[in-house]
Amino acid sequence: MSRRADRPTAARGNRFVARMIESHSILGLSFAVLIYVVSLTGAFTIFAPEVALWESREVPTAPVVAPDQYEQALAAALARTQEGYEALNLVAYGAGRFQPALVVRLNERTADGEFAQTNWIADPSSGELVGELDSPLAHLVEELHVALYLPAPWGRYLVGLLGVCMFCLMISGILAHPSIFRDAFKLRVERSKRMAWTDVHNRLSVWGLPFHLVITFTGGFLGIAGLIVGVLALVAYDGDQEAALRSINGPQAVESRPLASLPPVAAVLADAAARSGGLPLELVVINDPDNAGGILQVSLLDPGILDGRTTYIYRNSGEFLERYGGEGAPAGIRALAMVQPLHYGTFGGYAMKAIYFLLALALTWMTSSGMQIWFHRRAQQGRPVAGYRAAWEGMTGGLSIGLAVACLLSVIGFGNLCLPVSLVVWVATIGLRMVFPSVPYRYLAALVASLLVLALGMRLGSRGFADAFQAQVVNGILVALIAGCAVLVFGTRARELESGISETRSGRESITR
Amino acid sequence: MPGALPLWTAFALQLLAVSSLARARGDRARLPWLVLGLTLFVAALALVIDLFGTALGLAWGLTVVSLAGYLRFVRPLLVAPSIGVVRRVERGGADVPQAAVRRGPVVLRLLAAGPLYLLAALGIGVVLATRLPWAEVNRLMLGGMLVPVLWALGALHATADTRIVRVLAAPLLLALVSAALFFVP
Repeated sequence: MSRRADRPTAARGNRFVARMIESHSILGLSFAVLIYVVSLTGAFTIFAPEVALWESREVPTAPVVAPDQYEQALAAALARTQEGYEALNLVAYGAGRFQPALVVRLNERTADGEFAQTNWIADPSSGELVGELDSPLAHLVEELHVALYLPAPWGRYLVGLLGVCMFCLMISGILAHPSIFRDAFKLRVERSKRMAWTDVHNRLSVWGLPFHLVITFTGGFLGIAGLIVGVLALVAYDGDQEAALRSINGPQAVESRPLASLPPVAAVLADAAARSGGLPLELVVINDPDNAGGILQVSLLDPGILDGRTTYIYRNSGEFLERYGGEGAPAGIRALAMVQPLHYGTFGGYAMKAIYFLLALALTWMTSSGMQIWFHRRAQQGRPVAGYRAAWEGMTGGLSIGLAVACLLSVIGFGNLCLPVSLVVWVATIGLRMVFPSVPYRYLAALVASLLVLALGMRLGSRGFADAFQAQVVNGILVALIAGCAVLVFGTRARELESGISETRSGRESITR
Repeated sequence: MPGALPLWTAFALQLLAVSSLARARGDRARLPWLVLGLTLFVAALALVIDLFGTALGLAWGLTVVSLAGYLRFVRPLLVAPSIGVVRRVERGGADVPQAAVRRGPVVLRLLAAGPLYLLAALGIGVVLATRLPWAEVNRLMLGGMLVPVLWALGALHATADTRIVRVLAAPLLLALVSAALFFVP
C-alpha cells in the first residue's frame, strides 16, 4: 500500500527535478560562452590594480601620500582641462595596499557633448604628474569582465543579465539535485565520461555555493544598478535622477559661487583624517570642481568592517556636510557598500584575494564542466556535437591564448594592439580548432605557457618596471598559471585530453557508419 | 596579518569538519560523524565571527569553507588518469530523469526569462522601494537589491514551466499588479 502511495510522489519529484534540469540546460547552454568569458576575466580582474602597476613603466610608488601631494596632483590634472572642454569631476586614487601609486583621473565633457577620461600617474613625493597611465592589459581584462567590451550602458546591462542568469543557474542546480548532501563527496572518475563530468560539475558547484551565490548576485546587481536607479528615479521621483541619487548617495551639488582654483583638498583631507581617527585614504572625488557648491567626497578605508569604507562629504568650498556609510550608518547604505567588496574580494587583504582567485577559476571550470556533460551526454546518446565541441575548445583555448598574447604585447610596449590582436587570435583559434579538431588540446596549453614565460621573462629583464610587492604578486600569478599549464601539458590529464579528441573522432565516425 | 592564528585555526576546523562529514557518508555509524562535522563547521564560523564581527566573519567563514571542500578533491583529480572513460555502448542516460516535454520554443522562454521578467522584477522592486514602511534609504536599497533575485526566480519559472501560456502571462500579470499597487493611493 505504501509503495503505491509513494509512486505519485516519486513521479512528481522526478518531474520537478526534470524541469529544473531543463531550466538549467536552457540557460546554461544559451549563455555558456558569455558566462565563461565573464568568469575567466573576472578571476583576473581581482588583480586589475596590481596588473595596471605591473605593466606600467616608470611608476613611482609609496605606501602613503601626504595631503599636500594629493592637492598638487589634482590641481595639475585640473590644469590639463582642454580648451572648450568642461571638467566634470576629478578623482585621486589613494596609494594603498593593492596599488601603492598615486593615480589621478580627469573626467571631461567635450565641446560636442562627448565624455572624455584621462588618467595620470603622479609622483607621491611632489604631486607632479609623471605621465599618462597606460595599462592596456588591465583595461582589456576589466572591460571584458564588466561590459564584454560593448558600448555603455548596454555592455554593463548584458553582464548584469549574465549575473542574474548565473544566479538562476545556481538555484536550478540546487533544486535539480535532491540528493545534494548525500552526494557531497561523490567523484566517480572511473565511470562514464558523462557521469564523471557530472560529479566534477556538482562538486565544484556545491562546495563553492556560498561564493557562487554571492558573486552572481553582486555581479547581477552591479551590472543592472544603473537601470534600477534610472527606473526608480523615473517612477518614484518623477524622473528626477538627482533626487534619487541624493537618497542613495547623500548630498548632491548646488549652484554656488565659481571657484578660480582647486577646492582646498589638503585641508579637507586633514579634517577627514582627524574625524576618522586616522583611517587611510582610499579615494578623493571632486564633482563640479569650478563650483563652490559642488561635492567633495573623501573615502577612507576601514578594514575592520565588511563595507570597508567610510566617506566624508564636503562642499567644494571646504564646508563639512556629513559622514556617509561605515559604522552607525543606515542598514541600506551599509548593504549597498558591501556589494563591491564582496564581489571583488577586497575585504580580506591578499589572503582573501588569493582565495577569490582560486574560487573564480573553479567557477570558470564549473562552466566548462557543464559543457562537457552536454558533449558527453550527446555522444553517449549517439548524437555527438563534434562541431560545437571543437568551437567550445577553440573559444576557451583562444581566449587564454588571446589574453596571453595581450600580456606579451603590453610588456614589449605594443599595448595599443592588445585588443585587436587578442581578438583576432581568439577568433582564429576558434576557426582553426574547428578545422583541425584532432590537434591535442595540450598544444594550446603549451602555447599559453610559452607566451606567459616570454612575457614574464621580458618583464623581468627590462628596466623601468615597478618592483613593488604588488607587482611581484602579478609575477607570482603568472608563475602559477605557467605551472597550471605545465600540469595540463605534461600531467596525467594530457592523456585524457588526447582521448577526448579521439572520442570526438569516434563520435563522428559512428554517425557515418 | 592580525588574527592569522585564529584564522588558520578556523580553517583547520573546517578541514576537520569536511573529513568528518566524509566519514559520515561512508561509515555505518553516520550520525556521530555528521554531528561532529556540523559542530566543527559552526565552531569555525563562531571563531571568525568572534575575530572579525558578524558580517566580516560570515564573509570569511563562508568563503574559506569552499576551499576546505575543494581541497578534498585535488588529489583524486590530479592522480586520476582521466575524468571518466569512454563508453562505447550507447545509453539513454537512464539515471537522469526524463526531460520534461517542451512546450513552446526556447526563444519565447528566453523572452519571458529576459525582458518580461525584468519588467516584473523592476515593478515589484519599485513597489517595495516606495511602499514599505521603512526609512527611505532602507526601502530603496531593499527594493533595488531584490530586483536581481526576483528576476532570477522569474527566469527559473520561465525556463522550467511546461506551459508556455503561463510562462508568458505570469510576468505580464506581475508587472500589471505591481503597476496597480504603485498607482493605488
